Amino acid sequence: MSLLEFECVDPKIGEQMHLFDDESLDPDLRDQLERHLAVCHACSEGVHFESFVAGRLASPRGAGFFRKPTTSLPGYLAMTAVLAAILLLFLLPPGYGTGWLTDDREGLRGGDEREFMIIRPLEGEVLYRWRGDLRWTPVVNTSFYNIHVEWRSETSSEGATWRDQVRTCQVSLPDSLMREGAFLAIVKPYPEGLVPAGERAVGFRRGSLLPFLAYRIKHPPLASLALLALSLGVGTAMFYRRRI
Amino acid sequence: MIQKAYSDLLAGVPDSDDRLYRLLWPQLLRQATPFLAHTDIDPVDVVQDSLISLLAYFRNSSDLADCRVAAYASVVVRNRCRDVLRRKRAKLVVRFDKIAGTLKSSLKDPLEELVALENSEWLNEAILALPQSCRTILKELYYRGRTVRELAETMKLNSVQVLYYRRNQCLKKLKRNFKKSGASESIDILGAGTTAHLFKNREKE
Ligand SMILES: [Zn+2]
Repeated sequence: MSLLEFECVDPKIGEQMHLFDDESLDPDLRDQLERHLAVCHACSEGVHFESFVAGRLASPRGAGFFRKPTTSLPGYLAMTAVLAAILLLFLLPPGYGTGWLTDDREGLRGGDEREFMIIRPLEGEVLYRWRGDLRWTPVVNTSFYNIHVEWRSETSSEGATWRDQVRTCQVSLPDSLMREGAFLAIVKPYPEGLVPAGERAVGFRRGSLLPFLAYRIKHPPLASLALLALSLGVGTAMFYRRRI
Repeated sequence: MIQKAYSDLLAGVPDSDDRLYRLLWPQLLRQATPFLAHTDIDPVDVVQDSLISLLAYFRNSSDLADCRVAAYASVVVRNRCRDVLRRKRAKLVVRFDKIAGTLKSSLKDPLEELVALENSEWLNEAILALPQSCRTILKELYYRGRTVRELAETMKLNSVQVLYYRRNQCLKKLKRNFKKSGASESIDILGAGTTAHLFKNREKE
């Protein structure tokens, strides 16, 4: 019991207070209850509370007190933003992770975006159910691209190598390589010498769901981060508006 | 001595109320002083108000033993101290800026407006936290306006007293939930103190 909680002056009478508005109540008892109420804060608080509740519930909007409150527009916005952020976390290409801060984008893309770079996968990326698509930026005057992919199992000593030549800026790896493990992909435009250093390489992994989720959480796309920050801001503002 | 003064008060002996007042005074002041320590509330005022309402009560009561007169008086003083402390606290926590935009200039006291606004949210939370049976009773009685007798018949209860009792239990639970939501001070503002003023209105009617 809190220090500020009222005590009933005479609990023997206080216990009968629920009969206070019973029309058939004995007049002597009614008189006793009325006198008790005039001096007892605890019981009169109960009576006041009842008339407060009765007043509120009897109003035309009384039914609303029995329904769960509907979420306000900012609440919906915040919830939608959180859901969108989670969805985008997995749908959009991964972000640069700590590279947002360290400007390590060049390393992640296997090259400078103004010259020639591999668009996907990123350096170090973990892919789940990857279908084997490899994409890069075009190089002017290129006749074709030499593709070299090495695969190495992380649980056994198995390994494989695959080569191809394509004219487009993307290639799909064969089904035989669609296995979990570490990959190294090298793309080399022909004729040589069209770009400095000649070729671009990225190392990545095809893994199970958990490592994939962990990677995505560490490398969120910027849009996902922005939406999360927005929902956090709206949520915090709503929380403080409610509390003050 | 307290008992003698009390008996004299019941018998209508002149100055008996004054004697009882002076006999109870030191004991009640001892109760109130530590309660109100570290506040700017004067315990003398609280004891005075308590004694005035107590004497009015004692004049019409005939069944109190000596110890009960003193015990009654102590509880009344402690409750009054709690009452003033609660009101003080309620005023301190109020932030008017929260409802600045919703206040209608010609309406009631801004404090009451704020309390009404917050109470609606808290009442909603408190009602939803009640068991279904309580929600049904409160909805039928207060929202649908059914009488206790009608509802008791619908619920096939043996007597209306049972429903009065259940309603009271539900209201107690509701009050507990309501206070848990942070509304403890608000109840006091809505219906402060004891119900003496309610009966004054009733007499006028
Ligand atoms: Zn009581």
